[in-house]
Amino acid sequence: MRRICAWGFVTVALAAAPVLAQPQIESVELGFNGRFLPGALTPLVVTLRHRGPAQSFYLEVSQEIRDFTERSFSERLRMSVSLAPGARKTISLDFPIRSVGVPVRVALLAENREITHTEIVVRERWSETPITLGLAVGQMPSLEPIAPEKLPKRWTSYEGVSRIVWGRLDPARLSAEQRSALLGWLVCGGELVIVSGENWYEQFGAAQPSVESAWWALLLPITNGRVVRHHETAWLEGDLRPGARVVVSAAGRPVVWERPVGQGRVLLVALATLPEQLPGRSPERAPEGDQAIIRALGALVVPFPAREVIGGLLLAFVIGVGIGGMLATYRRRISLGIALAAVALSVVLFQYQHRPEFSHERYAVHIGVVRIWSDEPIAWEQDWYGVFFRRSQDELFLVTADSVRAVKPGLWAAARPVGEVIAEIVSPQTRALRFRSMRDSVRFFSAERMAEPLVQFTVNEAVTPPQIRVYNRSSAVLQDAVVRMGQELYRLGTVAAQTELRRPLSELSRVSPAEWLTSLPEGQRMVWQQWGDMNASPALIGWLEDGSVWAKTDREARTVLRLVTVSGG
Amino acid sequence: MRSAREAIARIEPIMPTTWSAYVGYLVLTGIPLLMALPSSARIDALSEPRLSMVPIFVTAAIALFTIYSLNFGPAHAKLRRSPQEIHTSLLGHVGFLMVLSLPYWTVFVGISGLPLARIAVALFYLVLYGSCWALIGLAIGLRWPSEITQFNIKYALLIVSVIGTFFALRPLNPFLVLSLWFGEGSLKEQWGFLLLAYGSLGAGIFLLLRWTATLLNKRDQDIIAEGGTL
Repeated sequence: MRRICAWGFVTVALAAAPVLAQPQIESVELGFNGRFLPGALTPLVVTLRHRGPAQSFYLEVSQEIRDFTERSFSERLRMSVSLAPGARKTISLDFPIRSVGVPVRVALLAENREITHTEIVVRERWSETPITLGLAVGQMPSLEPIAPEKLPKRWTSYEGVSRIVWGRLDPARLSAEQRSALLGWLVCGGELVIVSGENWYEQFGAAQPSVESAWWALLLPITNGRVVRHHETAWLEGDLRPGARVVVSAAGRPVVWERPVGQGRVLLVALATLPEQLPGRSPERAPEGDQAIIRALGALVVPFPAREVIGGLLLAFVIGVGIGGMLATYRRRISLGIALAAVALSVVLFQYQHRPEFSHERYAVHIGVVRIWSDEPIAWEQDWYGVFFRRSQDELFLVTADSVRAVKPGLWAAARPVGEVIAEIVSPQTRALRFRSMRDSVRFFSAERMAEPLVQFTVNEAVTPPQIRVYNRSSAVLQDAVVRMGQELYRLGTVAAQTELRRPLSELSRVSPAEWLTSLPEGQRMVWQQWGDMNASPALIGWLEDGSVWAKTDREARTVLRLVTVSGG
Repeated sequence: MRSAREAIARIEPIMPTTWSAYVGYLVLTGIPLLMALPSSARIDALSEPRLSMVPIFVTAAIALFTIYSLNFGPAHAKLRRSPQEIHTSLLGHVGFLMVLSLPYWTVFVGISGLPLARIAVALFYLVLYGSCWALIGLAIGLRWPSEITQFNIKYALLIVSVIGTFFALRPLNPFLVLSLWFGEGSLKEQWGFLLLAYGSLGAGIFLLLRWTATLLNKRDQDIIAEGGTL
C-alpha cells in the first residue's frame, strides 16, 4: 500500500513538474486603482513569475470587440519578455480598453503557443468621464486617490486622466521618469491643480532651488512665494511668472494662478483647500486627425497605365492574329512569327505596366502636427498614416512613437474586412505593426510621441527692427515657413536641414492671413484648417515634407505633410 | 530523339480547323479584360466595393481554355499520322493557345498586382489541365467517329467533371486551384493541396498519353488491315 502511494506521489510530481516550470501570471493591475476611461490608453502592470529555465516569451494583451454588424475586431499588443530562472518580473504597458463588456485577456506565448493566460473583467470600475487623480489630498468626491509611487512613468498612461490635484506632497518624491511623464501629459492638455497653505512654499514650493526641484519651480505660476495669514487663513502670495495670470481672486487677493504648459495648464491655489468652482477652460483639446487622414488618403489619386495604350495594343494583336492565321494556312512560318509577336507584346506590356509610377505596392499619406513651445523642453508630435495596398501580403510597419493605434476606417472603407493588427513593443519608442493587407484595401494608424523640439525659434524684440532666429534641427527641410507677429504674417521661406537662419523682420515680406491661407496648396490648407492656430504670437509656422515616424519601403509612394508650429519666441 | 525533333518540326499550330479557335479565344477573353482595365482614380473610389471584371476575365479564360483544348482533340483524331506526331501536335496546339494569351495574362499581372511567378505557376496548371482535356478529346474523337456523339460526350463529361470536382477530387478543379493562386490568401497552408493538384494532372497526362497511343496504334492497325495507308 505504501509503495503504491509513493508511486502515486512520484507520478503526480512528474506530471506537475512541467506545469510548475512554466511561467505564471502572478497579478495584473489595471488603470488607477482599477479605474479607467474606456477608449483611452490604460496603464497595465503585469507581474510574472518563472521557475523553469531561462526563456524568452511574448506577453500579449488583447481584447476581442464586436461592432454592431457583429464583425469582430481584436486589439493585440505584444511585448518580448526574457525571464531568468526563479525570476519575478513586473512589466508595465499601456493598452486601449475599447469595450467594457468584454474582458481584457493577458497571455504568455512561446513560439505562438499560449502557455498561460488570465482574463480581467472590466465592467466594474470604468469611468464615464476622464479621471481626476488626487495626490496627498483628503477624500473628495469624484477624485481617485493615488500614491506618488503609483504615478505612471509614461505620459501615454495618463490618456484617461484630465486633472491631477496635488496636495502636500514633496515633488522630489517623483522619479525622473515620472516627472517627464507628468510634463508630457501637461503639454498635451493635462491640468495640474496644486493646493498650497501653511508652510507650503517653504516645504514644497521649491523655495530652495536645486537641480531636483528646478522642474517643479518652472511649473509654478509664481516666484518668490510666501505664506501670509489673512483672516486666520494661511494665504499664499508671490510674483507672477511671465506668461502666467491670475484666474480667480477674492477681496483683491489672487486665489488661483494659471500657467499654461503646452496645451495644458498648472493651477496654483493660494489656499489649502480647493475653491468650490475651479475656472473652466475652453475645450482646446486638439481636434482628432482620424477624419482628416481618411479624407486625405481618399483624395489621393493612384495612377494606372493608360487604358487606351493597352487596349489599342491588344486590339492590334488580335487583328494581327486573325490576319496572320489566314496567311498561316499557306505559309507555315507565320505561326512562329505570331508566337514571337505574342511574347514580344507580353514583354512590352510588362515593362510598360511596371514603370516606376505604376509599380508601387503602397500609396500612403502621412499627415502630422509638431507642436513646439519655446519655453518647454519637449515637443508634442501627432502623426496619422493612411495607406492603400495594391496587393495582398503580410505587412510589417515600424513606427517610432510612444503610442500607436489603428484608426477605424471611414464609411467608404468600412465594408471591407479589416483583420487584426498586432502591435509589438520593440523598444520604448519603437512599435512594430504586423497584419495582412488585402488587395485594394486601406489601413489607417495614428501615432504620438514626445520628442526634443525639431525647430528653435526666437524673436529678439529688444533691437530695432526685431531679429528673427530659426534653427532647424531636423534632418528635413522646413518649407514655406512664415512668422506671425501680432496680426501679421511674414514670409520666411525655406530653412535647410540642420541650419540656423537669422533675419531682421523688416527684410521679410508681409502677407495677410487670408492671402497666406489662399496661397497654400490643397493638402497644406487641409492640415492647417485641422490643426492650425492663429492665436499665438510670436509664432513660427512651417512644413516638413519628410517624416521619420513611419519607416518607408522602396515600393511605396508617400506624401508627407507635417505642420510645425512654434509658439512663443 | 531524332524522331521527336522531326515531330516538333511538323507541328502546324494554325490549321484551318483550329485557327478560328485561337481567334475566338482571344476575342471572348479579350472583351472582359478590356472592360477590367482600370483607370487612374482616387483611392476612395478604388477601395469602394464595386463590380470588377477581373474575376469574369479569369473565369472566361479558364473555361474557354479548357473548351478549346478539348476541341483540339477530335480535330487531331482525324489526322493520319503516327501517335507521337499526333501527341506532339496536340500538346503544341495547347501550348500555342497559351502563348497567344500571354499578352492578356501580362495585363492581368498589372491589374491584379500579383507577383509574376505566382501567375506563371498558375498558367502552368492551366496548360496541364488543358492538355489533359485535349487528350481526352482525342480519345473521344478516336472512339466515336460521329461528330454529334463526340459533341454530346465531351461536353457532358466536361460539365460533370467540373461540377463533380467541386465536391470530390478537388485538386482537379481548375477554379478551386487557380483561385488559390489568383486569390489574396497566404499559400503557406495550401502546399499539400497544390502538390496533389499538379501531381495528379501530371500523372493524368502520362496515363492519357499511354491510353491514346494504344487507341491510335489500334486505329492504324485497323486501317492497314483494311488495306489503307497512313
